[in-house]
Amino acid sequence: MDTLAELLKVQIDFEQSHLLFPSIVEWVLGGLMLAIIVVHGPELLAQWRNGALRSCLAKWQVDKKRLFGCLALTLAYFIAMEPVGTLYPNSGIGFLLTSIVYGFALSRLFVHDINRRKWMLIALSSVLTPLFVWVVFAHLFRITLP
Amino acid sequence: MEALFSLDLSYYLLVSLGVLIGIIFGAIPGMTATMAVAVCLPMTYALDLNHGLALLLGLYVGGISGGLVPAILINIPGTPSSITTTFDGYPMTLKGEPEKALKIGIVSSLVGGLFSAAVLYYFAPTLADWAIKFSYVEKFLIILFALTVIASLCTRLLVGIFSGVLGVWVSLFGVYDMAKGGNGELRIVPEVLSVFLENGFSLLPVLIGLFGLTVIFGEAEKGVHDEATTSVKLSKDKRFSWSVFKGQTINLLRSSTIGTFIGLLPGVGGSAASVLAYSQAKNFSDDPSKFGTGHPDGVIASESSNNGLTGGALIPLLSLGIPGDSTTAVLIGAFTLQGIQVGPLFIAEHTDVWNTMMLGLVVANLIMFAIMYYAIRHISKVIMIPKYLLYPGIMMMCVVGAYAINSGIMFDVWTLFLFGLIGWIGVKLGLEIAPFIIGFILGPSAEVYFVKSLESFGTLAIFFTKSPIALFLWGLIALSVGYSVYSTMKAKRASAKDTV
Repeated sequence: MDTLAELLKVQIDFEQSHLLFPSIVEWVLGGLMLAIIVVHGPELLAQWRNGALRSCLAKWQVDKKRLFGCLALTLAYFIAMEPVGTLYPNSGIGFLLTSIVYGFALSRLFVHDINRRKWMLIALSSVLTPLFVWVVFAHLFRITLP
Repeated sequence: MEALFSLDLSYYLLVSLGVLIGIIFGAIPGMTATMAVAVCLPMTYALDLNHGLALLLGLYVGGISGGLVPAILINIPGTPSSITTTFDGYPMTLKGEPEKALKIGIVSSLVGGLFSAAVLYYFAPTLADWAIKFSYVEKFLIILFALTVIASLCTRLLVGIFSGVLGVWVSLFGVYDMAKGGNGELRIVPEVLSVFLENGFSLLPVLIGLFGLTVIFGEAEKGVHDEATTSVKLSKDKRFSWSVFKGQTINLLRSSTIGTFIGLLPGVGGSAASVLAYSQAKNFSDDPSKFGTGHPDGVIASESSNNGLTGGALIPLLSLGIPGDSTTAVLIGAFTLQGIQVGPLFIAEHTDVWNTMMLGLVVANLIMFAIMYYAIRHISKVIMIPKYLLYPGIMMMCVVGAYAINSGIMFDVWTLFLFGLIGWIGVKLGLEIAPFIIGFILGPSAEVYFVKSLESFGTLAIFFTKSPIALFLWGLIALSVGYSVYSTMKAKRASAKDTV
């Protein structure tokens, strides 16, 4: 019993105390990952061997145009926002201008069976939505925008 | 009563606005109450806590309630918690009773919401009084219990626990906070990112990324199709009558109770509550065969239970500081913004905020009823709003929320993007978002409680020997893990039998 009590004793060095909990968490994460591999690994391996996993992957339906287009547009939107904002500092114009372009491009990307009415709606919404957000947040609420 | 008159008109207008926006989010399939609260958080930046909470509670109640509209009209649950509403709601629509089904759902939602608010009002202060006596040891064990409960309800227990622990790990990025007794030293973060991650990832960009961007990326992957392609019309032939609730008191009370107490369990969510309430209503019914064919009892059970969840999920949040579901996890963000820590001392130290919150919850339910009951013909048209117009606006709101949280830091926008990607890819790899986010929120507190317990007592044995409560909590932890292992084995045996 004394040996167990001795084993459970912990002395914490304050200088190193920032590493104690993260280290424990990392060990637990490693252990869990190992346990997941042991428990679910054979099942996944069997699925891979009999082709079930491959056919599942083959069946994975992805709209590549919309998915990668959305990711690329969002990336471009975030990259452009600040540089455009520096042209008109502390006004949120960077947000407004890039949002108009982004909103238009994203709506156009997402829409199916485009027609004249949808074009109009997209154009109107891509100007009005960012304008509304900009007026409410940058002017009414005085919130910092790029 | 005093609180009722001390608030200005803007308070009630904000609740109404929140409810309306929440209903819209809830009514559009794929958009949830959590997303509504996360996306609209920036609107609270310029408000004080009471007004901010008014808006957020409105969003919460509206978001949960709005899910019944597409569930009944187009057989697609607007939110996960309205899945069982489709079972009888949609058959009622097919029978020419859409308006009747919608109004049954709306009244049931009101009853569930008010019931759970009453339970919250009486139960949370008692639980908080009890929790005040907790030392760091018990507080750490409560967090451990919360994480195991969430993980045990995931499809795969190990993956659920892994997701929760991963959330804890991500929350530890940055310095060990000196304000909480830490030594102010940086950990986990590489030197090159130390400028950005000195204080770790900000909570709100992480939340908004996981609940906002993830949904949009997921929809883009599926091709962004609008579910309602034909216009929705409510026929006037079979109107709603209050007599449908005759003999439904037990069903209403039982389902509201199930919803409220399922809400108490961290991270369990409304779908579990409504499935349980629905199955209980069916089991206790004189004629179970009617369920699934357009039986009002099914809609009543489903809707009263999922709205019962709202008050229930707030109980652990306001008394223990542990979010009851993903939406209340986002509400923590609103408290953090105002510099208020929720936990056992919250109700005692902020009685005015507590009273205002209670009032807000009741008012939100009443306004939800008024808007949905009297304007259901207009509300039902919301499901027709095309997603190609909605998503760009949501993305802009996400950016505003992330950028403004630390008064204009672009790194927070990149955090938003990063966690949007993590959420989208992570779910494909099996990562469970609910445990991850609860782990992320509770991680820093877990660290402080764990390290301070060891600093004070110098032995790991203290986690077992500190008090009977500690032992009781270990019992609960073992029970939740045991339950999960048992149900997994049961499911495996059942599927093995099926294949034979």
